[in-house]
Amino acid sequence: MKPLAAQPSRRLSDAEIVARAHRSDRNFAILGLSVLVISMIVLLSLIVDFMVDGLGRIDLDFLTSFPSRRASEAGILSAWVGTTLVMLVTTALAVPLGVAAGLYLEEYAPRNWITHLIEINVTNLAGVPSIIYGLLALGLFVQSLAMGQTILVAGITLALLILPIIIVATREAVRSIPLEIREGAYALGADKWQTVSGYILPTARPGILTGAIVGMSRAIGETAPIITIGALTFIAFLPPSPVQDTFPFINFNWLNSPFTVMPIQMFNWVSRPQAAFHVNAAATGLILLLMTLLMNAIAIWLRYKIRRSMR
Amino acid sequence: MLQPGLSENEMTAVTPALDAVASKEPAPLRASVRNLNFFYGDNQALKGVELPIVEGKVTALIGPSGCGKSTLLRCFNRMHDLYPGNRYQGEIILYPEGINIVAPEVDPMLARLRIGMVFQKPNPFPKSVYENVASGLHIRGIRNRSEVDGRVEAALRQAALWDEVKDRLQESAYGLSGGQQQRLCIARTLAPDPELILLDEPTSALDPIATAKIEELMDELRGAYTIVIVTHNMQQAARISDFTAFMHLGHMVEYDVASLIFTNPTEERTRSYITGRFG
Ligand SMILES: Nc1ncnc2c1ncn2[C@@H]1O[C@H](COP(=O)(O)OP(=O)(O)O)[C@@H](O)[C@H]1O
Ligand SMILES: [Mg+2]
Repeated sequence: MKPLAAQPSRRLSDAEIVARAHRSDRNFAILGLSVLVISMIVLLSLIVDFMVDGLGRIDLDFLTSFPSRRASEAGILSAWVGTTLVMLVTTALAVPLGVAAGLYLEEYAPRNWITHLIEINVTNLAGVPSIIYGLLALGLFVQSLAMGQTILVAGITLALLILPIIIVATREAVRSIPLEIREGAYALGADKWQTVSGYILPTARPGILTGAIVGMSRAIGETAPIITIGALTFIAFLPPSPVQDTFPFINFNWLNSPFTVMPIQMFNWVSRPQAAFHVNAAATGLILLLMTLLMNAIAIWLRYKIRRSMR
Repeated sequence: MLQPGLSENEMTAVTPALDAVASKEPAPLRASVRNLNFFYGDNQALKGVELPIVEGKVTALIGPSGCGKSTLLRCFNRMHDLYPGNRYQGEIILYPEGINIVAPEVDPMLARLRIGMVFQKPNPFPKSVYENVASGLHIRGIRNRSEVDGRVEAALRQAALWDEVKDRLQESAYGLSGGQQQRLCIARTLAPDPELILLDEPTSALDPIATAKIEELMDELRGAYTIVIVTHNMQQAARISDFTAFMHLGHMVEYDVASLIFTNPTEERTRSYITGRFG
């Protein structure tokens, strides 16, 4: 019997190893670039399609008119005001609550099974279909609590929807802060609250901001939960003004006003048979896109400013 | 030479080593570690450690990597309390009150408010130079503008950094070089006027020139501050310390006047270590 000596495999020369490395780098770069180009083309053609259909329709009248039975006279005033106000409520609720919850889970919560259970559930909630939130809101806020189909209820619903996103982003941001920063603050004699509010939270701001904007970008385009709670599709008035000329000069009556939002307005027009309404829908889509981009731009600018002040 | 049971008179515990320095008067102690055991969960990292810390002097902790130097240092300001499962047993007495700062009933903040620490890697906060140095003051509720300004400047001068940063106090600390950042961290530690300063290998991440500056600084702080410094560099320990303690496998092997440790150690293990036979 021959000894089972392993047959030495042919050794690659150094030049061959280098060539192989270059080849695999290049292959991956080509693959990545193709995927990127394809998705960019899809997105761009979508935008171009919107533009071809809708750009000509956008003028001041379109922005300052209420919807109408006649497509040429219809506008999106109530829709963009509605979207803006709902987003205001959503942001005002979701960001402070989400950040506080994330900080609590990361810094304060005892490491036990209850905390663990909460953490798993929060992460899972981020994946729950949005219509489920709509059903919850319909049952709880609209029916049980009789709050009506208002801006406030829509804002709360969307806030619940994006809360998990902001909580998870806050936790990630807090967890990625170097241990040395935390220990440095404690070593100076800081208590927990001083450490969290003075050193951890400011350091985590860029990451939290990113999470907030991802959440808000999702909320601004949501249609299902808002239709579910019963937002109207035809609104020919604005919510009451938040400012008044008598003391205390501001009021919150607008919170309890019926409303519509951009995606619903769009959906409404798309489902009409007349082509003229489809043009309106495309124009609305363009402006919704613009609002999302604007929101993102503000966030990127803020994050840039924060990051620059930190290095 | 190590004396396991220090004398009854806590304030003036005397060892022959201390006598050699303060030839006439017994050396006053700032702190004293007594029979200290420390556990990371079930893993005992310190075993019956004894160590006097003499007021106004520089005490160096040396020993091979993993012998427990950092662990001992971090007991002084209760850093271990930040993580679950850690346990102290024994005493670190802080004078003049004689309180045991590792006692469970003593709040860790109490130790940290009185004892400052400089870390191995410079760890400035992502804030301005000024804000960094003022941090310890703000944490203590000191907000009077002129007082904070004065103490920030004084601390930066003590840390030999003032001339380099006085025109960029409002700029981010991350713009400073590594050596400057470490001196900034020293200034930040000095600003609240701590009773004891702990340094954990403060120069191990720095180049030789930055290291020399920090060593010079240690020399200037001597007398005004009591300093405990961990170093794995024996030349550094010999250059800057008044007393040197050699640790091995969680034990305090030998403690003595620096010059004696490096010329005539009592213990065989110390001799092997300083002659480079292990570690
Ligand atoms: N967080 C920790 N958990 C468990 N064991 C640790 C931890 N930190 C250090 N140790 C152990 O304690 C011993 C002493 O470590 P350390 O004090 O860091 O040594 P040194 O600073 O002298 O290099 C080592 O055996 C190390 O493995
Ligand atoms: Mg160490």
